Amino acid sequence: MSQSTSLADLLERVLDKGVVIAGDITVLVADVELLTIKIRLLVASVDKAMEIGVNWWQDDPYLNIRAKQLVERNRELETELASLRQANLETIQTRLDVLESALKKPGPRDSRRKSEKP
Amino acid sequence: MTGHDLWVYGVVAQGDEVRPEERNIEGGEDFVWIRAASLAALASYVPAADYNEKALARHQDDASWVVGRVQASAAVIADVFSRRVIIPFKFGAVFSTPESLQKRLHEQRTEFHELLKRLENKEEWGVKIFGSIEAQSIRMVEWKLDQAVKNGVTSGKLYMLKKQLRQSNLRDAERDLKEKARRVHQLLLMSTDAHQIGKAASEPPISGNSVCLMKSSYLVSSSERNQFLTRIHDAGRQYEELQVKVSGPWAPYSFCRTK
Repeated sequence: MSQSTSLADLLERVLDKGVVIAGDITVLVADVELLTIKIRLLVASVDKAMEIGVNWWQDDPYLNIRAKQLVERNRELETELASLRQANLETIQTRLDVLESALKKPGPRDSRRKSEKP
Repeated sequence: MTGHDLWVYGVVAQGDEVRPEERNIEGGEDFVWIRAASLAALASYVPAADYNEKALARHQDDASWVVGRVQASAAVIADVFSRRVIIPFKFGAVFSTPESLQKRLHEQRTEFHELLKRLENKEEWGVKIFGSIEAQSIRMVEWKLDQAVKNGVTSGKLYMLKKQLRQSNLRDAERDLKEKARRVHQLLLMSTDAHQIGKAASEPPISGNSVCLMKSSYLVSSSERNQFLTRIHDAGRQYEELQVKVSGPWAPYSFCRTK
């Protein structure tokens, strides 16, 4: 379990939820769901956001360092996981190959059966 | 105030007006309480020219503008929520005059009072459950292989396992993970007053290609908080193939829909 409040969580709740009241209200941000998705896409990828010049977090030293650390850690984890997955697949494949070749070899029972045949 | 509109954060019961210790949406320190029908709406004045429909439409493409204001709005609501019951308003609720806001409070007074009563001592928690379908498919083939070895391998079983490995058995793995996520959700319902299921598919995958299997919000009594979190912790230990992400406590954003 991990307990954290990400910016995406915050955007989702504040933009997408809360009491909607119609009537004399002068402005209500239209299509908030679309807006949430749009903003979340921006914040989902720090690199992409920097590419297109969205760098609001750079003024905030906490967010700046943390965002970089998170992106780096994410990359490390993805590489680790990919190699683990590959290793797992190879292990299963090897076990299957060993079992298959063991099955192909005539065992003592098979030899006996063959010899029993007329 | 001429040339100014009222940005509304939320509503509390009259008598519960506490001074926010956060800055308002424009970075200032001033807030106003607009009172009507035994209710009090927390608001601050914003320049009308910057918050009219056209201006807001322009700001939508400016992430720093929106994010900054979302953070400010959330901080104000969270601050009041930490001390009193508040019904958060949807982001972008702007009224032209105090009278128009008072009229709205008066018209919806019954709903607001009922909501305030229902939300007393309650908090919202967000739970997202992730899992890697690919990794789960490998785990499932591995498990079947172990079983096959234990019970005696046949060439037919081997052929099926090889086929499953090639196809990664993704559909079964996804079904299995979703069922486990559903079980966690059922477990959490035991400590909650209400819940809302979100759109898991709209959630971006996290590291290791783990996709969101379930996304829910839960309304939890403050007194049940520890039990709720313990249940999540236990579920995380029971289902190691799932990653459970929790956020909260939030003001009850997802549980204040009026009729």
